[in-house]
Amino acid sequence: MTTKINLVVAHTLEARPLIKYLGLRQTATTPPLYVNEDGIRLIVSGEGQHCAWQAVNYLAELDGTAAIQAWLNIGIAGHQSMNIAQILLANKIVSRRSGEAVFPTLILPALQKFGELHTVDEPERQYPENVAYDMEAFAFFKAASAISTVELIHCFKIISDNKQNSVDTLIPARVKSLMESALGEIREVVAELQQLQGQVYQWQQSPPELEFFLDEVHLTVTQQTQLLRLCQRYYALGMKSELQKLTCSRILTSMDGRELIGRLQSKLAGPQ
Amino acid sequence: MFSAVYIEEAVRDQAQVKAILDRLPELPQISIDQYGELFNRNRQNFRMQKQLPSLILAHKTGRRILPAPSGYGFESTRNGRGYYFSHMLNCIYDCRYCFLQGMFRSANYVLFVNYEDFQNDIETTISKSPAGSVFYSGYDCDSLALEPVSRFCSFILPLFETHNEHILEIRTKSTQTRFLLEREPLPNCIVAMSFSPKRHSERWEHKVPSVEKRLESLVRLQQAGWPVALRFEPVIAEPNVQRLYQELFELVFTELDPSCLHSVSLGEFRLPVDFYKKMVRLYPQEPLLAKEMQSKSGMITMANHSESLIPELERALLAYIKPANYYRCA
Ligand code: SF4
Repeated sequence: MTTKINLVVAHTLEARPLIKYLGLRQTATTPPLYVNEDGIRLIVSGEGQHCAWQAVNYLAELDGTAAIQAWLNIGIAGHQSMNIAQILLANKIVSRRSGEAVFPTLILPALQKFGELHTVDEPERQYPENVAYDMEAFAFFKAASAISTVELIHCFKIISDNKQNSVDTLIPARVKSLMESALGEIREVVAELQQLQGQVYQWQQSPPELEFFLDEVHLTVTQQTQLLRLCQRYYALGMKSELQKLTCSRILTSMDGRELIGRLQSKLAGPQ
Repeated sequence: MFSAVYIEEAVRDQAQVKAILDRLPELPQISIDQYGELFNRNRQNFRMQKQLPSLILAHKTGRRILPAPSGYGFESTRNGRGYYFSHMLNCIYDCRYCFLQGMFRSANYVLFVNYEDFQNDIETTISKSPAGSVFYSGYDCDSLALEPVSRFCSFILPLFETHNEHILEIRTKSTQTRFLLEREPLPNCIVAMSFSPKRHSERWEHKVPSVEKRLESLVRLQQAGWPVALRFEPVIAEPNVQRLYQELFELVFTELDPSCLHSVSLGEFRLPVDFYKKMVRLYPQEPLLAKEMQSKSGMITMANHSESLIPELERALLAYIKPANYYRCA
């Protein structure tokens, strides 16, 4: 089991400052994919919901179920009233197309800047509601929440346009400087996600003896599940050394799955 | 205490909701259609959410007052019927043995704000029930832990003032009892406090007020004239547990006047198998859940303890209280 933080960014312009800041190196061009040594990877998805959806599924398929995946959609957004360069973490994302809403969990306490985000299919020029507008977040969240636990999926937006500063006046240099201005906060969010992910990793980690037994003794799928729980119980009950003793014992090689499980069970049957 | 308040659109303008929001001025407010879209969704991690839960203000539809499971309480000793209701789902405390962890997908707190509907349903149920029927509050939550925010119990008490032939049991581990001390006691409203031996409480009752603090609150209530009850559950069997209970009984009955206790009960550690399995997935390294268990008729109980454990604890208990005041919680 490994951990991965997946950053999904729509445009190369938005991605560049992040790639530099996080020390990511390119590993694929279609789609453009960048990774670093800390398990962070960034995909440039392209604009719109369909692209965001595809990007999430592409990343998910790279690891199958072998990784605890956290997801962060990062990009610029419009807003009716927020100032340019302000940031927000979405606490509600509404699809304008369907009216459906999804709710990222408010579990990242460092950044107390939350707001509602509406995902639209065309750039929003009227800003009819006092919310942020983007073009990917809803599909991103829906796709990621089919793969990972919702607490590890978030959308981070930097306000690039509003009623006074139309999206049509946005130039590439401005996008770059907006992204650069938010790098510190993005780092904070990534760090919090890594911390949460680390917890989940620790909760789900199997005792190392499990691997050893699986290599030595042939077990059915049901027996493997039973064995995992037995190993966990030995650890939880402070009986780790007994488990370790068994891995060194020569009788193990002559045991079949049923015998191994029976032996481990019998030791746990006394009062605890 | 909460990371945000989610509010169902349909209840946003209710006076109850406005009053609650006034008590939580700093929190982000997020509107939702139905609490289920947040609370019941797939792929949530209860354990992670428990670190920073949100409050959801919602309308309770469907049946609000339900028949209590048999053996839950003492109604049979009063020739009445037993009912339970929950104005909340989930609890601000975090007892490792709590069945709520296995029952709900989300650790967020749902507070049902249609208090008047609860009141009406209780009245309707009362009208069809024999005198001596008991209404248990706090089945899917702790009755009092969130009282400073919800004020639900303050709201519901006057109903039992007018229906004094029926009983309300407020089951809790909370010390939020000031509102009770500030009003006249009601002889038919019982505050039932749950206790475990100190060592168990420190190990497994996370965020719960200490045994001493709970006892202090209960003593004050008893001195103020409120009927109080003791719930010793769940009994978690382990070597020498009898001694731990002996110490607990000694402590409790030195402070409280046993002669005017409403009732005392003991209950074994029991969980539906499915809840237990989910709790194990959430806390694979938890020693309590790693103990040897046995499963019978869909319920998990602790294995390896002698059949005589509960009778022994009962005997110890009956040294302090009258048998008529005791019942075993099934
Ligand atoms: S106080 Fe009761 S409801 Fe709350 S966590 Fe503990 S056992 Fe559960």
